[in-house]
Amino acid sequence: MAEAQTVTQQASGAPSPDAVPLGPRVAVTLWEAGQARAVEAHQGESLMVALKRAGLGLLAVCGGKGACGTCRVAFAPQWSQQLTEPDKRELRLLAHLKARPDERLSCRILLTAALAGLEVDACE
Amino acid sequence: MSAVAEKFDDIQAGLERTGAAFTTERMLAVRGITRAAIHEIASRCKPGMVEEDAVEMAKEILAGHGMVQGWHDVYVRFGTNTTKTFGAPSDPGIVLGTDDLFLIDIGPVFEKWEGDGGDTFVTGSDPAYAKCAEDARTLFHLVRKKWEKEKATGKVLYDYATEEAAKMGWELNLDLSGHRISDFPHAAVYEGPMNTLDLTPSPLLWVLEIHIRSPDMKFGAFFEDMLLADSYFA
Repeated sequence: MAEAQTVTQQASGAPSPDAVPLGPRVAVTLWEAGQARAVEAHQGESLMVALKRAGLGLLAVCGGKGACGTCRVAFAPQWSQQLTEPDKRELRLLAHLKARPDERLSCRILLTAALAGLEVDACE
Repeated sequence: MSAVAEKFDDIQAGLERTGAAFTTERMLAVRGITRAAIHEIASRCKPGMVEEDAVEMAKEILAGHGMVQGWHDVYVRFGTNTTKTFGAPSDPGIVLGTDDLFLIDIGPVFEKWEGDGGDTFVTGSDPAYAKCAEDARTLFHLVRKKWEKEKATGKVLYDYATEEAAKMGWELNLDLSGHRISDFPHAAVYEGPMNTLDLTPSPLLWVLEIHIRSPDMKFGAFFEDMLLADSYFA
């Protein structure tokens, strides 16, 4: 059942006047410095939004447009295979930034029910 | 120096902090690359082109110049989309007309340094479009000259810009009201706008943005460049 919460999403850092209803919860675990914690996450939002809400210090300076590369996180191989393939622009940016093969831009990961149980490693 | 003056100096120093990679030469060099890229993108925007294709074309051009990374997204907006504020999605499928206007707003990162710039272009001879595009540039320089001559604060500059835009017959969009620029990422220092500053912004460290829109919100124009003295605009 969808929760009756709303969140003010960001576009390039600027708060939107429109509050967007949150979708159903998705279980996401964040690993930081060897410690795991559950993160509030919802279907229909990007992983970046959930991680920022959880207080992870992602700069995400472009506001989730896939332009800056400052929202990178890493995934174990079993999860990498379940994520949608990165598009040309993300691949180019990850290569430009010399990202590790297990890294993705969290702003490009749309949370769905299929990602329930997702485990995310915060990059150094 | 009084305690109040010292406090203001401390605040300004905090807002205008730069990173280890910051140099005047590199910031100006990236400014030059950014301005050149804007004009290259504009030269390839042709009537009949769909806006989404222009955005992809712009990204390819920037990547070709080593600017794969951006501190903000790439915006090429056609026609009625020129009224959209920063970060707002464009209405899809807008085709550039033969008597039309379009704006470009890019924020590339070249190696370790941020660029940022924008401009507006017309495809035909519509006098209202031409005036709007030109007025955005004119207003940019009016405000910049006020900063240079009077050492005006960010707040005073944008109050002045709002008044001057109204005299020209336009509404100034204060969602785009200047901000820091630096070695990447300036956002780690200060993400706020210039128009709320009770301090005089220093040269090289800020960009001035002017986004004007027609009162009926049917079209707009944008101009943006680094806040610099006259000699840099010869």
